[in-house]
Parts: sequence; structure tokens; C-alpha cells
Amino acid sequence: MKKYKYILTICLGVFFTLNIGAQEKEATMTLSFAKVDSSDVCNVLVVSEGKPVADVTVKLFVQRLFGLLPIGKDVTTDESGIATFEFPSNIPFNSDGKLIVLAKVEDDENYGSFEIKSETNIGVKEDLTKLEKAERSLSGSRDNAPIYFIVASISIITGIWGTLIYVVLQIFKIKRKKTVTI
Amino acid sequence: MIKNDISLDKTTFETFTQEEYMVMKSDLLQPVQKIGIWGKVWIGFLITICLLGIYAYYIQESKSKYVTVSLRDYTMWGVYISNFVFFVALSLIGVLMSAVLKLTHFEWYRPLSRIAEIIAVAAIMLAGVSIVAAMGRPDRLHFLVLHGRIQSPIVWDIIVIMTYLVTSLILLFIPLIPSLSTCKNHLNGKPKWQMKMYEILSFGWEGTAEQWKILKKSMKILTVLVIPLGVSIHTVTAWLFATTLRAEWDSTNFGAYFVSGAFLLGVAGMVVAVFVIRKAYNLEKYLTEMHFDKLGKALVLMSFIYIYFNINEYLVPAYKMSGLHANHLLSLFTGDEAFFYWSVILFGMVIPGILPLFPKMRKPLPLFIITIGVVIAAWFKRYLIVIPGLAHPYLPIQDVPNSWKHYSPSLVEMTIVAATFAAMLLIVTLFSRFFPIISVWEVAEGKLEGKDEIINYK
Amino acid sequence: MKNENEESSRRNFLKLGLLSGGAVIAGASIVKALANEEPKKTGEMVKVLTADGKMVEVDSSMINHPSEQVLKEHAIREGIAGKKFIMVIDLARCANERKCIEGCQSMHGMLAPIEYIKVKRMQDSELAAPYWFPQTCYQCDNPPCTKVCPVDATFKRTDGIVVVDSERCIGCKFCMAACPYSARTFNFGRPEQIAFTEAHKSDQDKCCTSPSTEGTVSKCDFCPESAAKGILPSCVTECPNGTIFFGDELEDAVTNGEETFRLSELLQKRAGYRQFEELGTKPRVYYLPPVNRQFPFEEATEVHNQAE
Repeated sequence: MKKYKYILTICLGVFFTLNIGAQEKEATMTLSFAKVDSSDVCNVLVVSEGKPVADVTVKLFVQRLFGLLPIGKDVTTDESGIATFEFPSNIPFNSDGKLIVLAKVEDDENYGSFEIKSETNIGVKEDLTKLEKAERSLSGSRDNAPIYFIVASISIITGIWGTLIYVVLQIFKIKRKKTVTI
Repeated sequence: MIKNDISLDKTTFETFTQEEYMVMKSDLLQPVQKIGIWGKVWIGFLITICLLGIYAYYIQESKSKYVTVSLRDYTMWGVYISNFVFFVALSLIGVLMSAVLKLTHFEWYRPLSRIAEIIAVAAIMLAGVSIVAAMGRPDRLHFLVLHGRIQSPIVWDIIVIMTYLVTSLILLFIPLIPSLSTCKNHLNGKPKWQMKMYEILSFGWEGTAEQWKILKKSMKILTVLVIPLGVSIHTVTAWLFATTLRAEWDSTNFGAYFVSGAFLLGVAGMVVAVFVIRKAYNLEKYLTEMHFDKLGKALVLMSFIYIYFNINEYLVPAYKMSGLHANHLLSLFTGDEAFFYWSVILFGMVIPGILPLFPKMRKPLPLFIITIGVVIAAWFKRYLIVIPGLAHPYLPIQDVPNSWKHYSPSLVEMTIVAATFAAMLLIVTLFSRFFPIISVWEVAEGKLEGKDEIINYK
Repeated sequence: MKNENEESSRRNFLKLGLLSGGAVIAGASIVKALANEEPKKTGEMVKVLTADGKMVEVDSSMINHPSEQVLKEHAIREGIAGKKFIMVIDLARCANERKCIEGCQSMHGMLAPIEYIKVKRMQDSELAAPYWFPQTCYQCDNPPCTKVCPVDATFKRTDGIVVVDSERCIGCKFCMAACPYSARTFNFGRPEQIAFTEAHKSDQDKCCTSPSTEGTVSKCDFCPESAAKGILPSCVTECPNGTIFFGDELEDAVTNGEETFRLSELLQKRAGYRQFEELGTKPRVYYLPPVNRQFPFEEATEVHNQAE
């Protein structure tokens, strides 16, 4: 009888856990941005089955070309299920004028790992003046030589070669000046 | 009768007879007229070395450069570049001996000017050859024209060198015209093609007053033009080094330093050439002891100017011993290169600056020995400018194979360098076998100074 | 009697509790194992060069570096649009592991002793601490090398990278003489290198702007073709200490593969500086001084490039 009880308990336990695991509680997040005292904040609301969830550690990132830029430190949701991050207002946008923001929960005991992506307009335009311009300089390509350089070089070269050509033409004059023809 | 001391006194000349003129002409045409056995041996020897050089170049290009050439990532410029600088320096001999002396009315230039011009032309051509030998992709030589960037010092160097070569060729050729006519008229027993060549090249020269006027005017223009051009080629070559950020080459002194070195080399080269030519062609009457005397004095002057620039280039930074220059300076003064450096200073500047102060040292043979030393020292001086400059970069050389740490030229490189010398000597020798090496009419003109007209005998 | 019963029921309860606990744990781990994502095999086989120069074929899901078709989209003179690459090297982390050198060599098909990235032992003065100094081409904003090239074979692009076009290079090596950092290397046609390049012609250096050919100059080029796809250069990913950070200056973010920082904050906080700033070359690689080192400095124990 006792042995039977043990076996039953074990089976029940496994079954129970499997059920829980298979139906691990799902939670979702929503991101929203707000202004508090003239600084930007990002509020992450974690919701599970319609109810806000507290004590979940959330991380916030901005998607960059090579990786995820972390924003602030990890924040745990409060009783209303909201994690508030101070969002810097000077992150340069992507080329489409927006930022892709990612909120992640990693390895939470109840809800596992999940994330959400969103966009925001909080940021600054990329400083495109930093891109190399094809302007005239000594380091420039062949077509981008400084104007004064081109003018000076051509003048000097023309002057000297002009003189040389003139002299050569003079030599030919010697030939024309000969009186005796053979 | 030609007075024996006529060549020493430039203001009083005697007229001389047709006989004397004919003697002069036959003396100066003698090398063209006849070539002896030693002349042929010499030419054969030079051709052999040139062929060896061509073979060495073939090996260099067909086999891996890593194996045939000692250049590596840190010392990526080697003897080809220092040889190139040497030849560019040598080509300023035309500026000094031909143009400067002419314009300043030092009449003793007259027998020397054509020798100087042909050496200048030969040297500048071989400078170009040396630089092409250094290129990694010589098959892309035409890119320099198709895709050339005017901002690059190499492109400036090419433009100036081309211009100088053309100018020197014309400056070689114009005074040659009357001599060609002389050759045409007075040589006998020469092959038909040679006589035809003289005919064509002499441009119908008859020695009329009008033709002389054109000739003189053209020569004057070019003589004036070639001086800034010659100074430019060596200044721009110096800028190949001075436009980089390397500490050893980061000197405002470089342009003038190189040009002054070129003038010294020009005088020394002239002495060597004159000594050899007068012995080989029996021209002692025209390349006289007076010339050696004057050249000796010029050698002292140029040596002192060069010593001056060297003091500015090396001793002033040595006083400061800035961290940027310390490695390089110490390696020259007391380090790996010390033996070469001090030998170069001694034989290349101090000895030619001091010894020719004594008249006995200005005799042909002693002066010749001194200047052979100067020429060799000058070659090593350019080596000491290029290679140690590369061996001490700002960031330390670490953890590289042994051949990367220290450069010593390979056999292929030295063969090609030797071949460039042989080719230069070959050009000068062949020229002197086809055209009179001393300008007949210029010497005659000098001897007749004081008379309005030039006597032109056909 | 009652005591015995109570005790045995307590024992039973304890046993039950332990068993249930064990069962829950077992169940949870089963669920977790099932729920974990596995990298899906794409079935596409790709040839990859391993760090010691061997060619192996692996499923394309196994490698960070994409296969042939995604690379070399840009013409060589055209910069990656809207990006300006920048690098930050944290000298506090470099331990002379040389994985960056090996990764770069294998990615570009170069054999030792050719190194586009070098690691040097620097010691600024006698009393100063020595440190390991990884050094690439700095892709300077005022490059002394592009100024002197006679045929426009090396030039600066809009994305900040200084590129060598090996189809144009005439091998004069003036750019090598002009670089104060000795960042460039020349392909002298070292026999082993030529043989290696020949053998790997079909899967040659794919992420480079212009593969090194005999008689031309080559150097680090920040691997722009892979960078454009958001893939970090191998020097960045290979470093076990995450010494090298790479990013887009316009995005103000740099990463070493694991940690991402805002570029401006990193340089301000850690006092980033550039090598030989006074030369005015304006390098695009910043160094973070070796303060608060993660581990003490250790001298090198072996010489690596002995073979000619």
C-alpha cells in the first residue's frame, strides 16, 4: 500500500511538473515611451494572462549594426508590472530615422526568456557631416586635386615645354636657312 | 703658332692659321676616326656587364622577389632607390659644368661642356632605369600616365625628369650641330650610314651668320632654362623622402642638402671623366692641367658647401638628440653604420675639401684619385640616407624573420646596379666614338675670343 | 502507539516531499530541454578556412562568416553607404594571445610572417609599465599614404576606410615609406604564400576589398564587406579577452561581440587616445590606456615569426 502511494506520488509529481512546463506561463511585454521631468523614459509593461507581473528582471537594448547596445542597468518590474528605464535622448538613429528598441527578459524562473522589439523616434539624426566628402585636397583622388595645384602645375609645365618646343622649331629654322641644296 | 700657355690665359688669344685649326680638328676627331683594340675591349666589357644586368632583371621578375631581392616590409626601398638618387645627382653635372660656368663666363668650361652634357643625359636615363627596376609591377608603368595623380611627388619627379632629359638632349644636340658638319666634312673611311647620319643630323649647317645667330640664341635660352630644371630634379627627388613623416627624412634641409651634394658629385665626376678621356683619347692639349687646377678648386668649394649642409643636417639634430631622431643618429655615429658613415664623411667631404687646397694635389693624377674616392663615397652617402632611414620606424620592429631586420643587397640587386653604371659608361663611350667629345667650334671660338667672326673651315 | 504512528507519518511525509521535489525537478529539466532552441541545420555546406590553414566543409549554420554569395557587393571605390567604421582597442585587456593575428591571417589567406594586425610590446619609458599593443592600419582621416600614391591605387572612401586597389597598384612602395605606423605590407611573392594563394584560389580572401597579389601593397582594411552585413571582423571575434571593439561612428556604438558600448561614452570615461596624435594623421583607431588591467602583464614566451 505504501509502495503504491509512493509510485502514485511520483507519477503525479512528474505529470504535474510536465503540465506546468508545457504550459509555462506566457508573458508578454509592451514598450511605451514617456517624458518625465523633461527626460525620456521607457516603460516596459510585463503582462501575463492579462495581469501585470512583478519581480521580473528586464533589460533594454537599442539595436545597432553589430550588436545590442544596453540601455541602463537591469530593472525589475514593480507591482504594476512596469520596469522604467531612463532613455538617453541623444542616440543616433538608423538610416531610416528611427531606433529599434529591444526589451528582453532572460531566464526568468516563471516565464523563461522572451523579448519584444519596438521602434522609437527618440534620438538624434546621424551626423552625416562625418562621412568623408569627396572634396579637393592633397590626399584626394586624381580628380580631386586642389585647384591651385592644377593651375600651377599646368602653367609651369606649359611654360617650360613651350620654351623647349620653341627652341626645337628654331633648330628647324637652321635647316630652312641653308643656301646650298643638295 | 699656338702659344703654349694660351689655355691658361683667357683674355689674350692669338689668331691661328688654317693648319693649326686642322690640327685641332684632327686631334678632336681622332677618337671618332679610329678605335683601337683597348677601345673595343672596353666596349665589350661594358656590354657584357649590361647583359648580365638584363639577365639579373629577368631573374628578378620571373622568380619570386622575396628570394631574389633583399627588400622586405620595413626596408622596402633598397639600393635601387639609392642608386636612383645617385644618378639624379650625377645628372646635375650638366647644370654645373655646362650651364653655370657658361653663364658666369668661366671660359675653361669650353672643352668640358659636351662631356658634361652626355654624362648628364646618360645619368638621367639610367636613373629612370633604376627606378623601374624597383617597381613591383613594371608592367603597369603606363598607369603613371593614364591614372597619374598630380598631388604625388613621384609624378612631379617623373615630369621634371622627363623635362630635364629632353632639355639636356637638346642642349647636347644644338652645340653638336656645327661639329656634325665638321664630322661630315672631315671624316674618312667611315661607313655610309654613319656619314648619312651626320648629314641628316647636321640640319644643313653651313655656318652662315644667320644660322649662328639662331644657334647661339637657342643655346642661350636652354642654358638659362636648364639651371632651374636641374636644381628642380634633385629637389623633387629629395622631396620623395622629405614629404614623408619619417623622422630621418623629416627635414626642411633636404632639398638644398641634396642639390649641394649633387654639385659636389658633378665636379668629382667631371674630374674622373676628364682624366680618363684625356688619357684614352690623347687629348692632353685640350683637357689641360689648367682644367684640373680649376676643377680642384671647384671641388674644394663644393666640398665646403656640402660640409655646411651636412653640419646642419646631422650635427644640429645631434645637439638636440630628440627621441625621434636619436635611434637613427646614434646608429650612424656610433652604431651599425658608423664605419660607413665616417668613411663617407672622410673621403666624400673632408679629403676633397682639404687636400686640393695644395697645388700639388690639383695635378691630374692625385686629383683623379681623390675624386674616385668622392664618387664612391657619394654612392654610399645616398645609401646611408635611404636605408637607415627605413630601418628605424616609429613603432619598434619586433618578432620578424632575420632577413627583415637588416638589409644587405642581394646579388641580383648589385648586378643590376653595376649594370646601370656600365650602361652609363657605355652610352658615354659610344657617344664619344661617334661624335667629337670636345666641341671643336666652342674651343676654337674661345681661342679666337676678341674676334667678331668665327672662322669656319670646311 | 500514537507516537509511532505520528513518527511514521512524518517520515512518510518527508519521503513524499523529497520524491515530489525530485520528480518536479526531473520534469522541469525535461521540459526545458525540449523547449530549448537548436540551431537549425540549413543543409548548405560551406568551405571554411580553419585557424591553422586547413580547408573544411561545414554546415553554413555553424559559421559566423557568410558564404560566398553575400560578399563583395560593393565596387572597390564605393564606400559602404551611410557608415563610418571605427575601432577602439582596450589595452587593459590585451594579453598577447595573438588570436586576432591568426584569425586575420586565416580570413585573408595570408601566411605568417605577413601580419595585417601586429601585436607589439610597448614600453613608453623605463619606469612606465610595459603593455601589449595591437596595431592595425588606422584608416587615418588625414592619410599620409594616399597623398603620395602616384596612380590613385590607394584612396580613402566615404566609409572611412583607406583601400588599396591591387589592380591599380604599381608597387612603388611610396605609401609604405610614407606610413609612420608601418601598417602596410608588400607582397614580394614569397614562395609559400604564392603556393598557398594558388591552392586556395576559389575560396580566396572573400571579405577583403582587394586580395593581395604579387608586386602590390596590402594592409588591414577593416573587412568592410562583412562589416556591411553586420558581421564583425575576425580580429574582433577571435580575441578571447574582447580587446578590440568595432563599430560605426555614426551610430555611436562599438562592440567586441559580447559587450556593446556607446563610443562617445567609452572614449570619455576611459580616456581614449590615438597613437602619435601629434603627427596629424587623425587615425580611426582609439586606444584605451592599460589602467585597471584585467590581468598582469606577461612577457612573451616564444618567438613566432622565425621562418623566412
